[in-house]
Amino acid sequence: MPPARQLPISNCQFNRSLRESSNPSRLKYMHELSIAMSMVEMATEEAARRGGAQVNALHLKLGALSGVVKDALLFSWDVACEDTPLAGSRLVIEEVPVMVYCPACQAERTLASIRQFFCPVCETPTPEILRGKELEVVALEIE
Amino acid sequence: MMSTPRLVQVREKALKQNDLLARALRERFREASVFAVSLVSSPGAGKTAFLEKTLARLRPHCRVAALVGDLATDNDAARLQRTEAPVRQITTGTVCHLEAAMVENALAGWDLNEIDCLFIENVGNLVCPSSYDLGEEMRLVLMSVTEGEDKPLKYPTIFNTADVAVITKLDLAAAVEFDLAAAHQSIQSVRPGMRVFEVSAKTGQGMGEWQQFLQLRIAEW
Repeated sequence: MPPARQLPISNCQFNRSLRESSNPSRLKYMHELSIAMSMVEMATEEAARRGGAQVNALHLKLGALSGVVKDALLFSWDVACEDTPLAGSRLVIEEVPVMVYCPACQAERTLASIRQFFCPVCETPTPEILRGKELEVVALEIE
Repeated sequence: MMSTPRLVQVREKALKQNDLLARALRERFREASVFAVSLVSSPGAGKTAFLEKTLARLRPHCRVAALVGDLATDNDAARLQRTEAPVRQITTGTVCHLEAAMVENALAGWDLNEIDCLFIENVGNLVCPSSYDLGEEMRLVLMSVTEGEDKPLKYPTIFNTADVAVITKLDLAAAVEFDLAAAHQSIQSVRPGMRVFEVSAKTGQGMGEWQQFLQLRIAEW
């Protein structure tokens, strides 16, 4: 069983950053901040394991169905990196559209929208998702 | 010593800790034969009323328990305790969703071998809970008739991560001129083939069909 996660910012500090934010409502219900903190924690461990002292950038694959908003994640990044080896680092996001398998065409198709789960060519409904749920750290730039 | 910047490949889930904890929970549930069902919806869609009636209906047939998440208050737990099932409140404070660690903590002291079906009611929110695996076997997404038929189109991700949809407050459908066919169409366009139940916790309409479905799933588990 892995140890319970240690958040780089405590709830208390989180609340303080809410109060100090010029627009607190933007942060209040944002799970992107806790996702950013989870990535920082993981990157810190990974960098240490590879003998790096500092992380300059983190590359992330972000699926359209990941449930995470790119702008909110970028907005949270600097706060999450504060007082960690990732302070001042960049978050590089590669957005991944939803790719499904169409049983009629027997082919991979990219959805036009996550509100339209049907083949964009023949319009056959398909729930079979091949890509687009990613929330995955793919690379770190370390030194 | 100067070190040169370098790019190292990693392939790790951004929510690695949560995913690992959820996997461990799922393993524990499986070993103890606990069928775990989570509930997500917007605030006020009727999760607690639906759960209260579900617990009452299931209790004569199997051993049920519930965890209920809210930002504040233990009102929902108090309500569910009227069913005499074991219930615990998870108060999340400022956190807008449940995480696997919160579920794990809330289970402390419970003997999972004495539970057949565990319900996990998430914080009322259709956005954030979609990213967090709680180790559940089945995720229900609820939408009430007062919310409008196009809810799934507005929150496609949560509907897509759920296994079953429940349309609640059916007793109000006529009053709000709810278009059931349009609702089904919205659900199917974001999650083709999704199983949908139409219920009223208040009148009991549709609750029997839901109960039958769930009991079958628990029995097969």
